[in-house]
Order: sequence, then C-alpha cells, then structure tokens
Amino acid sequence: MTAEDAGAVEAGAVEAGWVEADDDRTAETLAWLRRKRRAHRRQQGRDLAVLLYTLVLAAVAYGSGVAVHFLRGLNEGADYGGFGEGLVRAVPALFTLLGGVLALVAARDALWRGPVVVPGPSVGWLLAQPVRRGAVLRPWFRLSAWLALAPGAAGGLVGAVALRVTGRAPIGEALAAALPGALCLPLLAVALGMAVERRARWARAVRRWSGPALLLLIALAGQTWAAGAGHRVRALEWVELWAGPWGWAAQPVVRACGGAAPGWPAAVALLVVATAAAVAHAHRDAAAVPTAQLRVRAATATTVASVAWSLELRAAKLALMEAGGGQSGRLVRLRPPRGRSGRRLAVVWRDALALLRAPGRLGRAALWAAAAAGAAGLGADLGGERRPVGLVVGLLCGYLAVGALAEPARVETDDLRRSAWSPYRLRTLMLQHGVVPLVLGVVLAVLAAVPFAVRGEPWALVLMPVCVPPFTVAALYGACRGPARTQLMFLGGGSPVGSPGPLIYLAWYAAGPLVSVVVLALVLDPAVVHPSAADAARAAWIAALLTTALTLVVRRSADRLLEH
Amino acid sequence: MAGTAEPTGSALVELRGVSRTYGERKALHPLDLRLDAGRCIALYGHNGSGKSTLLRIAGGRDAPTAGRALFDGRPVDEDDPQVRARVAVVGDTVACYPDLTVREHLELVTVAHAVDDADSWIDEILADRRLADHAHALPGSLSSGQMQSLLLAAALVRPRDLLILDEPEQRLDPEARQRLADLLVAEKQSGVAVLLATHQPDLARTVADHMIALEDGRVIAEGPPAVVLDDLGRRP
Repeated sequence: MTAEDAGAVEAGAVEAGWVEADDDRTAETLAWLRRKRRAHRRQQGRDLAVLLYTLVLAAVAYGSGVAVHFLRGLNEGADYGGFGEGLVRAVPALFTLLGGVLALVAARDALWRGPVVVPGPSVGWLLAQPVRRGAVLRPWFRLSAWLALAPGAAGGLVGAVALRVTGRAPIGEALAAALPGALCLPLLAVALGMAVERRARWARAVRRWSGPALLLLIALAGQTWAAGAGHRVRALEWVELWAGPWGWAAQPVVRACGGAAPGWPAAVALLVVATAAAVAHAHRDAAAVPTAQLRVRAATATTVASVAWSLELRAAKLALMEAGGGQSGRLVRLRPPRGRSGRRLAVVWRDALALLRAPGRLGRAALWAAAAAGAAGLGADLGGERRPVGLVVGLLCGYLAVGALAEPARVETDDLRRSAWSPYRLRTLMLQHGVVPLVLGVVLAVLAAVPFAVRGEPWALVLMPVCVPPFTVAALYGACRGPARTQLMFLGGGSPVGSPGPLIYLAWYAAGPLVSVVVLALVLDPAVVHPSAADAARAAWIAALLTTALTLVVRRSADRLLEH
Repeated sequence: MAGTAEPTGSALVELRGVSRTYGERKALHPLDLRLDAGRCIALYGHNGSGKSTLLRIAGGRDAPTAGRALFDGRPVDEDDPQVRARVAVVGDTVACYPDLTVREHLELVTVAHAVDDADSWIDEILADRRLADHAHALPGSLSSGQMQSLLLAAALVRPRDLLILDEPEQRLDPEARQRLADLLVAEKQSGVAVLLATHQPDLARTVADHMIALEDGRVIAEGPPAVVLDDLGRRP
C-alpha cells in the first residue's frame, strides 16, 4: 500500500467527527509523552539543580557580609528602633505601593509571557492535536502560582524580621501578620496576569494605562516617603486600607505594630476569599488561552531566554517589544523636508516622526527628567552624604531621560542594513541621530530647572541643560557598542571576593552613562548647592570637553561596527 | 468575488465576506470561498498578496476582521477539538521536541488520534516521504527540506478531512515536488479537501480544480487553473 492509498483509507476515519467521550486520547497522549521524555526531564532537573546551587552559592558569598554586619549590629545592641517609627507610619502607603508594583509587573509580564507559557514543541505538536487543552495548559498555571509563592514567602519573612529588629512586634506575631499578604498578593498577581494573557481587551488596557499607573506608583512612593517622615494623610490611608487586597493585607501588619486596625479579621477574610475566587477563576481561564497567543509567547520566551543567556539585552528588549504588539490605529504623518536643506534634515525628520508615532517615549523622558531634578534637589536639601547620592541618582535619571529619546539611533544599529539609504557614513549618520534627543533633552532640562530658578537658583537653568550633550553622545555610544563582549566576563582571574569579570563586563556595557555620570558628578558636586556663574561656566566647559571626547569615541565605535 | 470548487450541497469550508485588516493595512479584501470534500483550491500570488492570511483564517488560526469563516457549517477555530481532529495544517516550521526522534514525533500524532496499526503506517509514511533513513534522527540534524517532509508526514499520518498547505513546495527538490503533486491528487481522490497556497504554476495546474489569484489582498482572477494562468500570463 502506498502512502496515497493509505491516506485514502485513513481520511475516512473522521467522517463521523470527533466526540470527546469516545475519541479523547489526552491522558494516553500525555502519558506517552511523559514516558518518552523521562530522560529529558531528568536532565532538565539536573540543570535546574545546578542553577539553583549556583544562585544559592552567589547569595551566600555576596550576602554573607551584609548578614554578618547586620547580625553583629544586633549583637552589639545597635538600635534599629528609630527606623521602626517611620516603618509603621508608612505601612498603609507601603502596602498600597507594593501591591501596585506587583500588579503592574504581573500585568506587563503577561503581555509577552504570563502564567501559562507552553514550550514551542508542545504548541506545535501537542496542541495541534485534538487533546483537552486544560490538561496541557492548567499544570503550567499551577506551576506559576507555586513559583510566585516563593518570593512572596521570602518577602513576608524579610518584612517580619524588619518588624522584629525594629522592635515593633515579636517574630511569631510579625510572621503571622505578614503571612496573609505574603501568600495572597503574589497569587492575586498571577491571577491578574492570567486575565491579561487570556483576554485581548485586558492586554490593550494594560498597554494604554501602564504610563498613568507608573505615575500613580511614583505618587504612592512619595506618599510612603512622606508618611515615613511623619506627614500622614489619615483619610487617604483609611481609603487605602479598605480599597483593595493591598490594604486588606496591610491591616494585620498595622495591628501587629500596635496601630489601629479594628477591622483586620474582616480584612483578612476578604483577602483570602478574593484570592481564592481569583485563583479559581484564573485556573478555569488557563485552559482558554488561544493557541495563537501561546504560539507567539512560546517563540518570544525562547528568544528572550536565549539572548538573555548570551547577555544580548537589546535583542531581548526587541523581542519583548515585538511581542507587545506593533503600531495600531492611524499612523501619524509628518511632511518630509524638501529642497537643498532637506537632505541634511532627513535624519531629524525620521527621528521626529519616530517620536510622534511613539509619544510615550517623550512622556518617559519627561518623567525621568522630573525624577532627575527631584533626586538632585532632594539630595541638596538633605545635605551631608546624601547630597552626592542624590546628585548621582539625578544624573542617572537624566541619562535615562535622554536615552529614552535616542531610540532611533539604537534602531539604526540593530541592523546596519537599514542605513543603506543614507548618503552619509555611519559615523555621521549616528551623530545626526543625536540632534532630536539633544534639542528635546535641553528643553526638558530647562523645564525641570524652572522650579529651582523660581526658588532663587537661576544658574540651575544652565547647569541642568549642560548635562544633556554628554548624555546624548553617551547614549549614541551605547547604540554603537556592538555585539555583547561576553569574553569580558572571564577576564581578571580570581580574587578573594570572586572574579571581577562580571564587573568588567558591566563597565563595558554601561561605559557611556558610567563615564558621563561620574565626570559630571565630580564637576557638579560643589555646585549643586547655591550654584554661581563661575560654577555654571566651569560645568559648561567640562561638559563640552566630555562631549567632544565621547563624540570621538562614537565615531570610532561606528567605524568598528561596520568592520564586524 | 466568489471562489468555489464545484459547490455540491453543504461546503466543508465556507468563507463569507471574509476580510482581514492589520492596523491600517488591509491584508485581505472581502472575499467568498467555498471548498467541498474531494476538491482542491489553489491560492496563487506574490509574497504579501494575502495567501497565508486567507489560509490562517480558513484553518481557524486567525479571526477575520469582517465576515464569517465556517468549517462544516460551524465557525472555524483552531482551539476547537473538532477542528483539530479534522483539519491538518502544513504551515511554517514548528519547533520540535529536541529529544524526540523523527519517528517519535509521528508516533505522538498517532497516539493523540488513536490511529490503528500505527507502526506500519508510520513506516510507510516515512518511506514515502524519504525519511526512513532519518527515522531515528533528532530533528536538529534534519535539513530544511527534510524538516518540510516531516511536517508533511505529520499531516499525513493522522486522519483528516481538510488539508491546508502553505507553500509546501518550498525547500523541496524537483523530484520531491513531483511526489508532492501526486500525493495531493491522491488526497483529493480519497475525499480530502485541499486548500493550497503556492508559487508554483505547475503544482496548481496539476492538483487544483479551482484557482484564486491574489494581489494586495484582492482577488484579481479566478477559475480553472489553466484559464487563470493564461489570463495572468497575458497581463502586462
């Protein structure tokens, strides 16, 4: 019998259709697969054990110093009680903040991965057959739920220890108080992730509202900090304590710390019931994730895992962006420049168009610029050791603001064939990509400096914008960095605290921001409190030198990129 | 526009006013299509003409923006076990289990479909697809042409009422293409409906009863393959 003849015989076998009661072979299929893949699973188990062992070893090696310092402090009677006051005051806002962060992270994660990520082969071979999808998909949901409990329990333990060492509650009572939140909030996050993964409408809402949600979280962080410092808004805290699972989880902790939470048993009951309902609903949902979604997620997860292992973080980000959905709705148009000057403005036009089509990047840049001004200003107000810390954090935020605007430069070097249209050499093209981030970065910096100028520090209007050119060129250098030099991870030999290879790699990877932030921090540190005209002139001079030096490096890096 | 392969009674595949839009781009303009058991429709056109979009909708892998896609009278959805039991799709390369051999991949399919006398049937399929020498090889060692043969074998080793193939001739040598054409003709004779996207005029002429030429998501010609190909050949 030829295959054609046999096909004729076989083809008739499904004339009556498929009836689950008679034709379902899910159990046999999964059992067959488990049997055949036993050796593979064992090998996977061994690999996982080695990974866990390495992580534990690293945690012990690098964490033991901190732990010893902490325990010795306790033994020698260090008084952490002072922190306790602030911690207790901040509990309602802190739990709201943590709940919000958890929800946002879970929802964003579910845009490309989510609780149910089936390996590609299972999507291609197993789910293509008439098997019950629940039997294949639900175990992955259960695994995600169990895995989420681990960091939750660890977080609860850390919180309980914090309450104990600050003298707010005995360890047993602290653990009992932290436990409901530590177990329920991660499970609720997994359930939320399931809803986003399962429902396209939820995923669209997450994309649309992530920006505002981030702003809300920043406001909550501000409220947490203010509450810790003693500026509490009681009415708002009451709302937070009853508004949702974050508040319900906070109430037993408030009560354990001696605060007023008379309704805490009801809150805990609400938390448990809501979690049980959400997890049960998500468990049902897990079987209904469309195969098309699973196919894309499997491919993305594989790509991200492989490029992350090879430390190609940009490639991982690109895979996530692709999975996050492309441009939807109407595309914004922008008239291209014409005439003689048009050629010179082509890159500026392209970058401006890219920004118009992804206005969220400008919003992110504005957010980072505001954070930069806030951190530097706060550091200057607090004074002492906190001044340089605030300055460095502010400069890093400033770099990230400019970096957010420099995306088209990175897109250019993601695939060098894209620059084939250009009459310019790559080095020139890359520098032209700096125009839009430079101009918009200066505008944002001036706007961020206005509050300082109003407060009587007019030279802030110069000091903050002069940081933008070096940051722009540093971002361009990041775009021209080229393939990950993983060989750097193995440089440097051994030392009593381990190999310096990872640090060398990090220094190479972040050379642009590292150099620009360090140099600017050294220049600006003396000028950050009551800057004068001389301070501004010196900062401008050094920023110009730094920009020139980094520009030369960018030109060389662009040339090298072509040699690869 | 109406694409049809000899309407006789209720159609196995029926697309009514189906269109598909991605953002601003119209990948497929409204079209109708009807495919009966034992017939073959070939979709013909350049890359990006809408062939694969149409196949994905017909196989339930994508939902139309407008219109209805029916399989045996019910909305087609790849997540429906009825559809997965009766529709075999040979599409893009799929990820294989790295630790299962070529033969074991086919065994998995036969276990899920409760195929009788699976061992000898798999042997025949492997021999027919020139994979017998690679039966115990892992998928990672296969060439792209052999991988294409494996995907085709996976569709043939199971029962099916509808066979959907997206440019199956790709990566096949001329001899393998001829065997593919013979096989598709045999599929039709056995009562299987075949929906095929192809760049190969010869394959369409040999296998298809009806041909739909697409360009930029629109039907630009349809009818018997010889007529459509002749019509396309006369266009500037």
